[in-house]
Amino acid sequence: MSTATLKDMEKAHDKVKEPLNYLNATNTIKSWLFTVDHKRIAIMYLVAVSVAFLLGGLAAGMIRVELTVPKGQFLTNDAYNKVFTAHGVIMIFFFLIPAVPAVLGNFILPLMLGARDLAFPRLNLLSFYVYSAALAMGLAAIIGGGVDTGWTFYTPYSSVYSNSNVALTIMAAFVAGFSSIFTGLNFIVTIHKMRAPGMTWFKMPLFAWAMYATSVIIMLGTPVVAITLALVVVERTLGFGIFSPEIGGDPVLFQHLFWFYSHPAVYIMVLPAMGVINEVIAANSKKRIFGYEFVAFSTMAIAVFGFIVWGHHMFASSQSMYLGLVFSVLSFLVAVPSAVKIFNWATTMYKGSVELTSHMLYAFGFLGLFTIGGLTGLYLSSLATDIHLTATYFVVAHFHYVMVGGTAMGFLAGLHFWWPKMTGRMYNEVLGKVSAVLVFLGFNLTFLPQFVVGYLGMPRRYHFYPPEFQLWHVMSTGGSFVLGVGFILPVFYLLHSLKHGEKAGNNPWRAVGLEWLTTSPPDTHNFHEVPVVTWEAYEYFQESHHGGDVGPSRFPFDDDAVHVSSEEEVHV
Amino acid sequence: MSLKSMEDAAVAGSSHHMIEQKLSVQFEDLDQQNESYIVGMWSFLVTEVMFFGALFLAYTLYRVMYFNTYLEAHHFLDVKLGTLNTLVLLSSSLSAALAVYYAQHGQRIKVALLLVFTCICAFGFMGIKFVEYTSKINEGLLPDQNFNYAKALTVFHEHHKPAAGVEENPRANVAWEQLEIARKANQVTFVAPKDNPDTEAVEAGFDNRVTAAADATTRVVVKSAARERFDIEAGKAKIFFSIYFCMTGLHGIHVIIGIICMVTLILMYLTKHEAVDDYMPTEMVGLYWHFVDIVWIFLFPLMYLIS
Repeated sequence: MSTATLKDMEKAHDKVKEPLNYLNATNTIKSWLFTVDHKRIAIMYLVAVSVAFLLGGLAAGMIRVELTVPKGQFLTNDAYNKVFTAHGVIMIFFFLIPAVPAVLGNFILPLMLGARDLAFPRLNLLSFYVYSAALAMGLAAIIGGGVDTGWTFYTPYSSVYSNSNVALTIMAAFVAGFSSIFTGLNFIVTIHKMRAPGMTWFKMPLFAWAMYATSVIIMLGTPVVAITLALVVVERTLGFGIFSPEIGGDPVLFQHLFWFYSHPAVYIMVLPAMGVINEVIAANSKKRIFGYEFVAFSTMAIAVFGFIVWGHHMFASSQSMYLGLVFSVLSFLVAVPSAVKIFNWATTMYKGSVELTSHMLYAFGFLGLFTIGGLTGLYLSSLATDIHLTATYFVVAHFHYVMVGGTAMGFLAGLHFWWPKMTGRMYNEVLGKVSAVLVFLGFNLTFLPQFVVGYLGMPRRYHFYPPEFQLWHVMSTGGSFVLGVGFILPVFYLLHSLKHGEKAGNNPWRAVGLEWLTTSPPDTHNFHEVPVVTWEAYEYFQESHHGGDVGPSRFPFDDDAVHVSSEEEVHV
Repeated sequence: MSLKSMEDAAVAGSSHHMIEQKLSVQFEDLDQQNESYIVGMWSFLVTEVMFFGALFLAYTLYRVMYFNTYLEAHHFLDVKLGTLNTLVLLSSSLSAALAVYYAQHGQRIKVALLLVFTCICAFGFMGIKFVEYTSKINEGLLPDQNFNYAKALTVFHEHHKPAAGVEENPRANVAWEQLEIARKANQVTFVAPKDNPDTEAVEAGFDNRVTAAADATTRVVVKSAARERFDIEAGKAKIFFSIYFCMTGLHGIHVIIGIICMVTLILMYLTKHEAVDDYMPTEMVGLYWHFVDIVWIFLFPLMYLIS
């Protein structure tokens, strides 16, 4: 038989034999737009979030171009203010907050827990549309004139003086908040009530713990910022007086309420990424996460501590010195659970059989960048050094190390890790590694110089600077383009894999976790049979109480044990 | 069948829901479904508490900072109407609780009737609120650009002359005293900006010393100390009324959402919609309505009963 006919046969075979899954079950546009399947909603979120990331990245590129020369000749003062505000608003409200929970969490969480869907599928769909509406409002505000307050919307500038589209942008952030509240509520109920039989809290994968902690923060924090932003809109549009110092209002009250949410919000952004890193590191080291309980509790501890440190954003905002001292000490505390995680991940890899897959490279990137981001955070939580560093590029570099180096790296690690499960296809592994390395190098080239230039006194949100800072800024701009290439690359090879990628099989990484028990891509209702969990999370080997391995995992690794993929049938 | 679902099935057999419920596909059994709804609703109410929480914090902060202003400004709120509204809302909560009870026992007619009563109370509450809001706006107490504390105070003190021999609380009269001092100095009656858009004339309503500039074309207005103090008081009062309108307004929005939910529920009962074969929708709306009620129970004393 010639190879051509063999290939034809294979193709025909694929067409006939492709088992029914959530992607090919129905094929109309309507079936996507009105779907209540968490997996399809996750895919729609992925598209929306990617668009937001692209637009936010575009704004970042404009900022970097403007800063290449000391007397910025690319944008006017006003346009520059609007561009950095657009970058912040889009990236924070429309990428960083929803990225991991709404895309990966939505897709993987029910699979991990052995559930057929989230507890409230229609609420999940509503969350997506609320997000889309918010994104549309935000873009309308930015395109139709822009906003120049910065993403923090500090009063009274935002509520009284600014002449830009503040109200519409704030309403966009307000509406986006409800989308994350809906997602958080869904996750909390799902984790409480829909775990598979046998899956106790301490048999849950740590990603689920991370989702739980994130959801708790979302539920407690988001409403506070929502009402605060609503008050700014009321003050701005109706002329009410709440934060305006002109009539005796307290603008720092706005900052307190704003950061009461927005500081925990950085944990909304980074905790899910940490959850992803747990899964990736365990699967690529073929070991149980070292100190599972410690990592689980450190996740909850970060969620709790996150709520009592917001005052460190106001060390230089007329807050009492004693309050500053307390907030400074409390801020140091957050470093403890974060360090617990980093050390436990390092120890997990120790003596593991580490595989250098592309998602593992992203996870390495996370570890390095997040550690730098976390440690530089200590300079900022220390009251005395922060007075010098407040509102400089040191702060900018610090939070980009945490947000991009942490959240974006974690998101990409997770996306590469679960892509075969989401689409049933393998992507180009070489390009994946290239992208991971480019992102890591480009990122450091962009943001390491910013620590230096910030320490030397370059204030954030300025676009004129003394010529002696130019070298640092040029390095930063150059790095940002490498970073941009690193981020764009996955778009191409991931999309390419959809049609041309190899079939993935159910468990290409030979990982432990209920999501790997079902077919790739999964059936519409996830499992043909609800799994019963008899093993610990990450049980690559059964461990004795003294730490040694006593036997093989009870997890059924074998693809064939669950479902025979069509590819293997052909070879038979 | 898994172990857990077998156990649950055994439990479900012993529990006696009077009406048949529909099981959504993502759930294993009815108990799991109902527990999920309950956990979800309570989680939602937690977010609602935080939602109002920020406003309560703002209220408390300014109450501590500007207690005298709160004391003076809260006299504009009508305690009688507030009390009446509290009673209306409390009785609506009772009927909502009864509606949930009868929904669990499958007595549709009673549920529908009780929901109608709850709805009437809710409309009544909004009606009374409308009367209150209208009078505040007419008095010039809506804290927007037209906020006019001087006018409101003048009208208020014309109608509420203290009875002979009754000492007024001086802490509750700071703004009024300053206003009177400012006025007496000039012996000019008060002119409202609405009646007279000429700002200069309005300024003349107080004891401003108007001095001519050197070139005699521009005039510099220098406010008297009393006028200065009154303006500061008026600013603080504006904060009080901003918070009053925001808190009661947000509560009012929640009442309206409650009305929409209840009307939907009543229509579902009338059309025998399959969703209300289950008592859960009624239970959810009931929980929500109790929350709305509780918020008012805090708002009423904090706003109307300051002393």
